[in-house]
Amino acid sequence: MKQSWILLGLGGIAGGIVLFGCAAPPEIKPAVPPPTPVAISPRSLVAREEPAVQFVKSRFPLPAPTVEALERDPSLDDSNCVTCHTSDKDLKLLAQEPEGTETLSEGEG
Amino acid sequence: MLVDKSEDGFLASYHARFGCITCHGGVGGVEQMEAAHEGMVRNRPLEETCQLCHLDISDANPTSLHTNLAGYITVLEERGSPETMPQLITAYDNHCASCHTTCGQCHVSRPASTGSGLLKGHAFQKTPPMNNTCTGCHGSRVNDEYKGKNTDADGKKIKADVHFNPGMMACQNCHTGDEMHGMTGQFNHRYDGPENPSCTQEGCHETVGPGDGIAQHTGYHVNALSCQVCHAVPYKNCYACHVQKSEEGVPYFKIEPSEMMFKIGRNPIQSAERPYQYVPVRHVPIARDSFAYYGENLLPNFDSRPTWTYATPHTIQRITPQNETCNACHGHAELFLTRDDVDPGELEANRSVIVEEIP
Repeated sequence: MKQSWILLGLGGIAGGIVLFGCAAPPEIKPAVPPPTPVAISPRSLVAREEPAVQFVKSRFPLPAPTVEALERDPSLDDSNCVTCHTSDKDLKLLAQEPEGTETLSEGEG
Repeated sequence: MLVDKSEDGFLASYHARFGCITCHGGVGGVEQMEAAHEGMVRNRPLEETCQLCHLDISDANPTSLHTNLAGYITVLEERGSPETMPQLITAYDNHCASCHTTCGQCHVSRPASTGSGLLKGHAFQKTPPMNNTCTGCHGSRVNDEYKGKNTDADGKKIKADVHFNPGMMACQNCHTGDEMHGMTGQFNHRYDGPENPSCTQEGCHETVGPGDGIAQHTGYHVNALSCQVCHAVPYKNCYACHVQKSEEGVPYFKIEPSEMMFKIGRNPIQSAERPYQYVPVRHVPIARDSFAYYGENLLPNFDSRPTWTYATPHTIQRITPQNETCNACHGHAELFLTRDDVDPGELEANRSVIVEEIP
């Protein structure tokens, strides 16, 4: 008796599989795709006038620099100082003996 | 003043870039010497020259004893009085202030008090040569003592300080540039403040003390005696300097003959930095009438300081007559400054240093 019920149940399951397995699959409707993301440039957020692009090579050759010659203060010109003070002969010629050499001290200092 | 023009001489150095007139003044572009030297200054103030670059040294310079000669002023103020200071300062200006140094008088030329002269063709010497600078001024006492140029009372040559021979140490090995430049602090006298240099400072005789293998380095000795008490030999003592000016206004001095002597006295400046009970004392050439030319009784407080003063003679020896044995020192009255050694007119001034009881 029990085995009969088991066989009956299995048969029912098998029949259901056959019935539903042969049915037509449901129609697949493709969903609407999401919009394509666009990279937002920071510049595009603010309206700005872009300067014209200058290529580096177009800036060369550079104009020659203008150098303004410094006017040296002639009173600071020490060339004569050096000329005289590096000449042993000239220094000896111009040397002056110091005045009033003190010789009155007696004893060790 | 012959300036070195060689390839590696002064003119090729960094300091030459400033030009002569920047530091010394004068007038450029002229050929006549007198015209070129108009307004020239041999030693311009460091505020106008060296300080432009050497800020740290220049800032401390006013505190340098070599610059401000504060030691002279300290002793004049103590022996003098507010009323006599003006005359004493006049005397100081005429006879003492020439020892004042400038940057150039150590690093470029010899000190003016020695007659000047360039050290090396105007090249700047980072470490001044001691023979032409330090001992050029510190000649009579330190130079002769340190280099062994003295003879004792018996005519026997006194050896050089061991730090010089065989130590080959120059002044700067102990007396650093920081000390010279006033960067170690402001002091009113060379013996004011911490001992600097100190025998036992880092890198020197740090381990001196009990247990160092030397029997005499007992705890009592190293605390009660300065190192020089055991390790110095006779040094120069000077007497009775008198200053005045000639009819032409030329300052000059007269001083009594010096004596080579070693005397141990009581420490007149005992302090935490100098805790010793006994130190060598040296007679300094001050007299009550040293400045009589400039006025009467200019040193009314003459007795406020001893004339036998705290001394650190540069006559160091490892073995000396007084440290050979215990009995070489103890009981030897001739080593100590007693009343008999002091001029009767200076007994009161030296009360703090006279040794009444010989150890």
